[in-house]
Amino acid sequence: MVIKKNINDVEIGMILAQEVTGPQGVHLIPENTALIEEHLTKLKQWNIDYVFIKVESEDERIEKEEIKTRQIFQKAYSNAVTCLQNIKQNISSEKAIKIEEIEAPVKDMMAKVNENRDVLMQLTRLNMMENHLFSHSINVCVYALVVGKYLNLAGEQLLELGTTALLHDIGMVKIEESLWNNNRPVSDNSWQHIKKHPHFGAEILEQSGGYSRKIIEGIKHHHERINGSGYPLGLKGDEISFYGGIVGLVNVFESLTAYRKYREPVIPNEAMKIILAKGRNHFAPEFLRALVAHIAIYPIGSLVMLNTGEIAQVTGVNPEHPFRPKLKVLFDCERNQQTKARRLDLKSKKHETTYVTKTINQADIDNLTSKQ
Amino acid sequence: MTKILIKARFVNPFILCAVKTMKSLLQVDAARADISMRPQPYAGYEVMIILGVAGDIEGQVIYGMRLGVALDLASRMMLGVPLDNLDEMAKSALCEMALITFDYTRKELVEAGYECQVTPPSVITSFLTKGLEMDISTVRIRTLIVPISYAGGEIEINIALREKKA
Ligand SMILES: [Fe+2]
Repeated sequence: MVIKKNINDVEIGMILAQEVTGPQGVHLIPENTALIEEHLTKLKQWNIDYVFIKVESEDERIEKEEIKTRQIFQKAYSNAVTCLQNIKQNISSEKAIKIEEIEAPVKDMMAKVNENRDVLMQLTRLNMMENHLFSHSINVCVYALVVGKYLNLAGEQLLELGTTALLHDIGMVKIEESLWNNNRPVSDNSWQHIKKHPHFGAEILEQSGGYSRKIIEGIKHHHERINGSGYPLGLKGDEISFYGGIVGLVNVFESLTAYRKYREPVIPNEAMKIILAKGRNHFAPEFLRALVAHIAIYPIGSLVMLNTGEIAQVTGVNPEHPFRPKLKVLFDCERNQQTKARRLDLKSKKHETTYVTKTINQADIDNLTSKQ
Repeated sequence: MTKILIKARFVNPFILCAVKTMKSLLQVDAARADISMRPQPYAGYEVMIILGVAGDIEGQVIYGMRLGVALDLASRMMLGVPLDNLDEMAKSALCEMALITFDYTRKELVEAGYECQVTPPSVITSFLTKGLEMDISTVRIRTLIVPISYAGGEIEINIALREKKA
């Protein structure tokens, strides 16, 4: 955006949107110059009345800020990946997993959740798409922290929950990768073996030492379901530990919505419906509520169609108002791609009669926009 | 026959769209029961979703129901998550449902020749107003009461609307 500014209102640091020229078009100060004190004095000496200054719109400012935060957060995310890589190596060489080592990335994620939950959630989506090794574990950790916070966990408890989440599938390293990481259906024999991974995980942590009972039980229980249909023990209701229940739920949600080589990801909204179709008997209602309220209805990164005809991407969630997300408009109502992202917050007064008509995926957008 | 002053032309879209929206939004079948009249909207429901309407027609539309029905509707809106109290989140789900229902209705009203806008819906529970002889309605307009029933119970739509005098 460019505005015309009276010379008396021009301040140091402002950026010229147009070069300043003197009589007969003499070039005085070039375009894009960030003004310093000397310029201001000279402008007055030259009797120049006004200049054109570049200003950032609020949307541009938010966009810039978000990109910056995302870059910082991505570093934390990559550190967590490195940490998990090291741990995997340590296990294969029979070394213990030091709890301090695993707590570092969890603490980092906790800080990021507090600082800017929305941006952190954007990252889980991005890393999921790039199919990073270990992104599943890190995303489950982030989701567990978000759900845990909603359930009023803090400090030590949140750290334990995050640790449980980050390590929930650690037992898989004891299972030959060829059994589970291929496109073939899993044979009954292999499945019986895979089902032991919660047990193997707990064993690894017990041997490493320093992990609380709650963490170990959480890992042991992350595939148990409250109606007793889970594995390996078939525990019911309250027999399932608190952390195990939360991690179990966010694990299913993350897996369904993740990108896999052999299938399209399920649209988050649909994933939640799939979970809830059975989930009433699988997970505690308060966990389901927390997931729906903060993550699942219009998850960050998902694409939505508005009643105005615009297509937008979800950039943030307004807690307790899952139907009123923060959005970035990608296509206007005539399906023109927007070069400058326009932000709208459905929670704001200005947009209170705008609503999401449905969640869509990239293929839908390609269809909708190619018809033009 | 009683003299029904309310015009079917702008009332019908409300009834049709309530049923239609429940089907498309919540995947439930709903049916209309017998319509009755009141001198003004009824304010004694456990839960009320209130919409203000302005434009060629003006007044209020109130969806009244028992708490259990409100929780059921909110739960269905929230993809089926079990709810046991009408908290902020559940209320927000009900408002969203009312907003979407009205938007469908508005489109039909426009086709019938009525331009109108809606004020954002609000949810009121009678627990807030217990013991008070409170008149939540700001309008005294002859009101059509349309009961809609579905698997989860019954909703009464109070349609208190009139054509704006030119
Ligand atoms: Fe697992």
